[in-house]
Amino acid sequence: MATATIEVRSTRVSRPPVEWRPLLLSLPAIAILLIMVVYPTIFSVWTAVHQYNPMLPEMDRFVGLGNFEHAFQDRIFLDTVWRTAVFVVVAVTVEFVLGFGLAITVFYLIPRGSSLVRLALTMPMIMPPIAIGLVWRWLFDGQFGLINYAMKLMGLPPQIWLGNTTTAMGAVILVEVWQWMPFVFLCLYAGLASLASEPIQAARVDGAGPLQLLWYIVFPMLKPIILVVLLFRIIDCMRVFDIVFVLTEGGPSNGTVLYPFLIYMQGFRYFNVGYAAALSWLLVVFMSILAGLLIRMLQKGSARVA
Amino acid sequence: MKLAISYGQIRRVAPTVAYVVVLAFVVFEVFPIFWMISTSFKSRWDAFRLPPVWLFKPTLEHYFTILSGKGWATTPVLPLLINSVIVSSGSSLLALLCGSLSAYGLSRFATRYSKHLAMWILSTRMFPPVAVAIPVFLMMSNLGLIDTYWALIIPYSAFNISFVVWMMRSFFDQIPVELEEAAMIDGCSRIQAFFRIVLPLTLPGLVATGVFVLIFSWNEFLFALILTRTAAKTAPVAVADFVTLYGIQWGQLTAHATLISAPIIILGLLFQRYIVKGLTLGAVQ
Repeated sequence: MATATIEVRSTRVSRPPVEWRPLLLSLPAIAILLIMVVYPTIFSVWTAVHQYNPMLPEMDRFVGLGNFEHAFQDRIFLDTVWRTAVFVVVAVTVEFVLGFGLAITVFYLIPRGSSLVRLALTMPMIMPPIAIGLVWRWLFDGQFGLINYAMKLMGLPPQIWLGNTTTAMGAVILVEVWQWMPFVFLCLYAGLASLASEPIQAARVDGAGPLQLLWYIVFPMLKPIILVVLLFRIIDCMRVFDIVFVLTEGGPSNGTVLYPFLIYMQGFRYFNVGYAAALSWLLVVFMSILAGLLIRMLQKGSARVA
Repeated sequence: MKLAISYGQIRRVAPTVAYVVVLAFVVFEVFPIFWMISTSFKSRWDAFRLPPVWLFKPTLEHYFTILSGKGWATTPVLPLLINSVIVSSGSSLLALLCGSLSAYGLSRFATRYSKHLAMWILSTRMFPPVAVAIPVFLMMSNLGLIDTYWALIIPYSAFNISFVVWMMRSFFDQIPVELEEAAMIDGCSRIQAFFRIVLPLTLPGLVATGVFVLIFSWNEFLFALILTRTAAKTAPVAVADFVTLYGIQWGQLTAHATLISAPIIILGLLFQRYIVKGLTLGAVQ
């Protein structure tokens, strides 16, 4: 009997006590996140299953999944999803190709000027998007814009850049590329600078040309950082709002409405709050998948570059 | 005839071509910022002149107009900038305080759940803010906080806490626990050890993280647009005022945009080496 008590006690002692301090110290942070992120997300569930318009409270009624069903029959929504997909793919591809090319060029061919180039290319990323969007609107101006002036100098016909769906979309992509191509450049430049030189020298001794070196040695070695950079860009591109708001206001004829801007229009211009909440949920679900991927990579630290 | 270009010839011209290409990209990236600043100093006649005038008599007329509130903006620019300063510094301080506490806990007392907690906090960073815009708006209206500083300070710190936790945790991880333990053996309490040993050592990291949070909050537009009207309106929101029925007031607008961007450009120049690290959440140093 006595030995049994001792045994029970010893197992209890061997189990470490629960460590409450991380949770305790995180409480203020968790509280703010619960109020500003978790509660609003859960509240959106309620709105998403209602036809809810704050201007017409008497019309408020439960519609179940009606808002979601409506979304998949809504021409504007389906067009926006397609447009956003095109925007993300084109913008991220161009950013990556230019950024990668520039990183290779600066790193291998002009090592001496690199710090100046990096300083200059840091600026666009941190500028207020709202100021950026406006300056570009000024540059794209049909009458007084510098871009049309340059077109005239080259003997090309001037365009009403922001007045035509295709060129307006091109303008939004250009501004996005302008602001974030430097991000790809700076990350990949840091990646190149951190690569071990032995494999490259070994391949060179074995007679590999510059393009072979790039494709078979440098590219595979950079792969982890490339994946992280691409995920960052894809996630950010899916959240673009400010640039659209000032550069084109979604126009002409909704031609540059991207997903976040559609949520804004439905919620704050047409007051279809229930519908906007449903659209928000679809975006959150999709982005959570991408974010999960990225977080797993960051947590593993596999892409860490010093 | 053999192909006339040899590998050696390519090698010789490559650096020159590289310089030209890289220079073109640098000009492309910097020019819009230069153009914004230069337009803001042009008189309304010079601003519209084509071919553009590169050398002109600079004028401060647009700055005086927006400072006095006689321009197209409904409010003079100074109160807007003050609002921006209050909101961004307030939210940054709140995010730094709560975030650092949490980061210290997660770094020093590793347990089974701390990894999951850290991941959950980080996941809020990837969240599309527009998805919570409506519920936050309704919540703020119900609390009567619309058009107050708190309506922006709380959401901004929420969006930045994940960033602070993630960055500060890596800074705390770099400081050997032995330093604190030594101090505690010498008679410091843990709190004293934190303030006397850990905090001074992580101060550069804390400052860099703070600069980032400050830039994010300063630049934020969507929440400022929907949650403020006049009293707490921040400077980026006022940009829309210059898009008038009579066209866009480019001189005043670029002056306004220059005023918003100036602090960011200065911070960017001072903290350039931290920026890539911050934007990649520490994945790239």
